[in-house]
Amino acid sequence: MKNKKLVRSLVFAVLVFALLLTLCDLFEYNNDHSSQRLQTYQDLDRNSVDALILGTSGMDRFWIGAKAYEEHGMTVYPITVEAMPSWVTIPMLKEATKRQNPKVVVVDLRSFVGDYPSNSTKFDIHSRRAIDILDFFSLTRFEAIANTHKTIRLAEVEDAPVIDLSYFLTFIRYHGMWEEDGFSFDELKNPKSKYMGFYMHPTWTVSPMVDYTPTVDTDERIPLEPLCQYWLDEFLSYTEKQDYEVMFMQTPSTRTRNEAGRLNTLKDYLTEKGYECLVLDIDENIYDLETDFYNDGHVNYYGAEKFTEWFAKYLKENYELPDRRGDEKCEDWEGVYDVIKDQVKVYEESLAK
Amino acid sequence: MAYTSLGFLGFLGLVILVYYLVPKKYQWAVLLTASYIFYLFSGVAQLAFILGTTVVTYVSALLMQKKRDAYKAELAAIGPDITREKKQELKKTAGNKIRRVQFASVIAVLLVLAVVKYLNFAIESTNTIFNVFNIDAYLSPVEKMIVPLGISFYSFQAMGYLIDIGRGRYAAEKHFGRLALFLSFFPTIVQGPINRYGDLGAQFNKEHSFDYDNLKFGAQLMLWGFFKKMVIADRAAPAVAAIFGSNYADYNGSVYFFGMLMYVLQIYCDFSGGIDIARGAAQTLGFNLPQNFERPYFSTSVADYWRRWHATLGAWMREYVFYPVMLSKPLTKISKALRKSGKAKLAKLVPSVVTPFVVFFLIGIWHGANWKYVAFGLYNATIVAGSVALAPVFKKAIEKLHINTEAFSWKLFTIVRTFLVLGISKILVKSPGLKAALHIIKSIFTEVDLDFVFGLDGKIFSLGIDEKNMFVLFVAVLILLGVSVLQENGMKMRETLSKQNIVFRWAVYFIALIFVLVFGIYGPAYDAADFIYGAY
Repeated sequence: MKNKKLVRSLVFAVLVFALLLTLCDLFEYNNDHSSQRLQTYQDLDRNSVDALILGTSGMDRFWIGAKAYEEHGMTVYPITVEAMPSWVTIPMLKEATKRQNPKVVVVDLRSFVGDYPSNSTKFDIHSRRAIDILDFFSLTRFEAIANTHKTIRLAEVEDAPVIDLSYFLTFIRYHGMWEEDGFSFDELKNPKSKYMGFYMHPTWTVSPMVDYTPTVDTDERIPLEPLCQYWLDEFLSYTEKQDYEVMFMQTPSTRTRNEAGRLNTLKDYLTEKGYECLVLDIDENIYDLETDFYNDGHVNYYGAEKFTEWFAKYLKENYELPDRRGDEKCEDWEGVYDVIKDQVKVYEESLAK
Repeated sequence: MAYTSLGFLGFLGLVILVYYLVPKKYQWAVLLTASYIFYLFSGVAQLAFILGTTVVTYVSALLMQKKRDAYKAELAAIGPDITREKKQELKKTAGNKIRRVQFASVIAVLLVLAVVKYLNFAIESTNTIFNVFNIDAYLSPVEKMIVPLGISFYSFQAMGYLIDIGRGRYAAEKHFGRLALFLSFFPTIVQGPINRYGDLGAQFNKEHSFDYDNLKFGAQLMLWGFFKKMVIADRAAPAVAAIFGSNYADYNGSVYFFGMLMYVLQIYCDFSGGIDIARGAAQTLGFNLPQNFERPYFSTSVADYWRRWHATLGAWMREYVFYPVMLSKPLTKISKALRKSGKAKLAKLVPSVVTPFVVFFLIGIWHGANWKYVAFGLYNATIVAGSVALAPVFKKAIEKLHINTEAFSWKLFTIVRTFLVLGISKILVKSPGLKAALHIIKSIFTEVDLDFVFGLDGKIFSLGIDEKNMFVLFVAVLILLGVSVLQENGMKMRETLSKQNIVFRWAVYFIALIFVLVFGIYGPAYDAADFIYGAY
């Protein structure tokens, strides 16, 4: 009798545990484009990606990987998160290189030029956008949490967030997602990016910029936030040991004095260490500020077309990326560019109405 | 450490494990350590208060016991030849000595409670009096007053214990650790139930072997508590906060009525849910704690309600305040005087009417240091005393109107009537102040907003509970109501469930678990807008 009860209890406990895991898996932060992008990436064939773009929205709005594949046969995928903070760059890169062996990794400088989040809510959201899209049981996820904790400790600010259990058991945070407007049960599945990581938005993708702040040109060298400097050095020390090449880039945008000054500092620092570092200004011969950007930090689809055109050639010339068109491993890339263009037409028509 | 936190569940799990693994004679030590660790989460300084109360209670009880033993020893030494007068003299002397210790110790415990909980209230009230009478004086309130966790609960338990020892109900506990455990037992320290030493203390002296049923039933009761607290109470809370908050004047009578319903729901599910978690946690460790809530909203009178709502406080008040006041010398004297003057009915009535005012004044002030709680107590006292005084009138009216008091319709009427009367009393507690409470109560009876009542203006969903949450709340309340009706009709839910087939049983457990996990309100709030658009 006792044994029967024990077995039953154990079975019950296992089922409860399985239920919790299922709920954690269902109620995760997966209805965001960053999560969908990573999901698609993780399903790509092993070792089928030539180059990675790691960074913020300053990358996924600019890079149409499907266009580069269609026109040059290269597979260059963006692993990006809105405002990806410097302290999660290493785990994100580790996650991205688990199944892929890229020749080159292009790193967004925007992750390192920003300020420390001004309050605990911002800090929490910045961190969790990245942490919560990582696999529940992955070590990279734990590393991202550990780095976040370390950053909080190093920052020594009063309004610091607390790493609570919800960082580990995401269900604690996301179980209420059904309350959100427009929630559908499809969101409980793991939706994927249909655009090979290119960011598409019903209005932003096809909208012109309404207003912008002109760039402040400066030759000043403004020091980075100490924490950004710390995580940049950590990042460099990690990537030095890896097989792939690393280059840094700031995509075209208008900049404040602070950003411009920090970019100058970054460029000096990285160039001195032997890294390729492109800080791109808005070249008026290429871009039309009024039609190619939807705000002063991001291009829309038309700007992205131009950027991709240029950067794909740059990558081809400098890194000799292979032409993978027709490669079985790269079937997922086929036809995606047409999907993007069709969707853009839908957005254009919708906007015109 | 909140009972609804994962931290508490982890803590409880660890305690259960250690508790059943250690030799049984050390189980009390595990529980005491766990209780003090639990208490330490609320602050180190707070521990000094409970320790102080424990020492005073322990020493005083032993002292009383010593005096009682000395009296008994003296009786035994004299032997059977003792005269009645001598025996009475010795008894009186011993009784006086015991009462002195009892009085001093109860006052000491009460004093600490009064100072930390009511000193600032007394100071503010005194300042108000100064102001009213234009007296040029001001007393500064004590800033940063520490109010130790569960002080009302453990102080009441300590006082009850001291009074019982003084009365000779049972022998004083000689084991300091066990008494300390009685006053600090972690499942009960936050919100009760208020235990009597005769019930709980005896259980600490027993050895507890692991019992599968205790673990199972305890966990089920906890789950039910989580359901009430996290799915219902915390879901209703935003509407209550909005309606009875500082902007209360923006609303009309119908909204206030809705707010009253939400608050009645919230306070019941919050408190009784917490008690279920506490009782469930205790049961997993083999302890049986008294029921504190027996479906109070099915009460047919206010007096009935107070037997069902926070029953252990009611029982404490009955035992240590109601009967002593009722049988006190002044009231007995008044009754006697009235009886002598031929007013026998009045003589009987006076103690029954006066005593509720004393009891409910204390119940009111026990709930909080504010005049609105006093008003709440007096309101209840008036209803209870009034119904006692007018009972013959009601009886006659029922007879004349040929009302069948056995009919369901009459029972339903009395339930709804009591519910509304109590709802009004809850407004007194929840409103920002007495003036606001009176405005709200008046509005309920004078303003009807049909658009709101029929949901035509959609305003009901703008009070902190949107459509989806309202739907979940509605379903949850239906479940609560269904279970309560079954319990009211004598069904023991857990026992009945345990007799069902395993598939059905487990399906119920898992559905309940999923319901609490998905629809419970806990953890950091998630707002997709924050993630998508915020904090760039």
